[in-house]
Amino acid sequence: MTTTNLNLNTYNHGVDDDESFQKYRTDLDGTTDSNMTLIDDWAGLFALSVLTLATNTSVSMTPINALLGSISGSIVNSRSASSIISGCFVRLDTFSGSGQPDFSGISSSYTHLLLMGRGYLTYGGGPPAFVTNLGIDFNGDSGSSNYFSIIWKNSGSSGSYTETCATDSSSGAIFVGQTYTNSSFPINLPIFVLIPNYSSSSGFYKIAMGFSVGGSGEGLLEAGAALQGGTWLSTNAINRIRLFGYTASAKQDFNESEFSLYGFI
Amino acid sequence: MTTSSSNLKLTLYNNSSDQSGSFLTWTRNMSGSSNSNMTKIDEWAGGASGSVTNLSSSFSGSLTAVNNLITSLSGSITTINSNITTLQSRMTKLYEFSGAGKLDFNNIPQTHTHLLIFGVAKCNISGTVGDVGIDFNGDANSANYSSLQWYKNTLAEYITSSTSKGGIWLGSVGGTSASNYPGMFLALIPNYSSTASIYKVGMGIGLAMQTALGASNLNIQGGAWLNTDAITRIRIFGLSGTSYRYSFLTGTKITVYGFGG
Repeated sequence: MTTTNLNLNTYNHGVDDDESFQKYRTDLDGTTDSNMTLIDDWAGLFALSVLTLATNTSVSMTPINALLGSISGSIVNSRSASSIISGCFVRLDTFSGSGQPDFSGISSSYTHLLLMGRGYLTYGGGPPAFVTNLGIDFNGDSGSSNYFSIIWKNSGSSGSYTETCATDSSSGAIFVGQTYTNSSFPINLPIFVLIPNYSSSSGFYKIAMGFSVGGSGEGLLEAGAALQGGTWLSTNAINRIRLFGYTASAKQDFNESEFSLYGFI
Repeated sequence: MTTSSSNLKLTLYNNSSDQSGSFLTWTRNMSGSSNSNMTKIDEWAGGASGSVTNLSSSFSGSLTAVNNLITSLSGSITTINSNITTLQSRMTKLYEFSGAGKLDFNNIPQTHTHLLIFGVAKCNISGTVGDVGIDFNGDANSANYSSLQWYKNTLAEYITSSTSKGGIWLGSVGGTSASNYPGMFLALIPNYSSTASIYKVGMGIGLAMQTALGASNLNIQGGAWLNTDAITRIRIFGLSGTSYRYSFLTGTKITVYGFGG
């Protein structure tokens, strides 16, 4: 009888015990169809199968490797490109509610800053509301002689507006716009402040400007526009910005405000 | 006494000590229908062939899965790159000028809609304040520009137009006086890459700081280039009462951004 897989010759002893030595030897080691040749044939095919599998594996790995290499390169490029995009114009910080925005620990990874938002002041009460300049200072420096501003504004109540343009060098802040005090119908004024080259620690004095427009009360009975700016008499990199309503007696809080600080790379 | 081989446990004879076994026993051990060397070899061969078949099948299946995954990954990356390209067209820093001299940005990519120019500067104009001018595509012909300038200081308010500057006013900055007091401006060049039959325009809002009485000013300026060509080059420089072009001083930094895809 023969085995299941290689068809090797085997003997059922007790039945096939009378076979001759010649017969056994032929079945075992004969040059054709013996067990040894069957095993040898199979071994050859088996080795070939393993070799083919190994070759196929290796061949398949080559394009996979090339494709993965290409994908990896694309991902590196994508990561680089996305890094540029993600860093081009980024919101660095926000402030909302009551109080005075105090943006500290400002990253020096950007070139220019934009501070924008809206708010009115809790100071003063009303009606009538009245206009108050907005100030910013840098790096916690509120030294009264460390800032120099030019202030243009045109504001007043309906039908009566007053235009003024003046400089200031004694308020410890750069003026960057106006907003209104609380009233029976407060309106948050939009404010837009630009601070170029804030992260440089050399060059010229730091400079900033801002503008605002709007008013208070239904129909903007109290209203105005402002274009203002100035220098901080320092070349230090700016790492902190405070924004507040400016009066000679105190720095005033905002109410219902929303401000965001953005960095331009 | 026979022994067994290490791996297939085949029956082995010690030729010096196992000479007494019968031929029948030997044939049973060698070729018996059960538990003989031949049946053990056959069983192992069947198992080994099955393993290779399974391995080959598994590899083929795995290869298909890997291929599908890579195809999916490749598709995702293509989508990501497409999205990045779209995002890049929305806002990108295109150029930065830093130091002394005049800004000259050539071969501007036409991948955006608008240009935004943001900077701090002083120029080597003798005195307190100088203007900032811009021209397009290397065209310095005075007849090709119309410009308007408004500025306000504590002493006066000025508004004037000009067709003799060979450029558009974008702002005012400090001159050589008061060495640390600069100027700044934010300017827009809308639809710079368009070739629509509308003249190109630009405008800026700015601030020039100086120590002398009435020298600091707030300003809004702008104008038109009498040309509809797409803008591929911008030059930014200091201007005074004439069309002479001044260099910026060390410490100047002007950044050009493209935005709007």
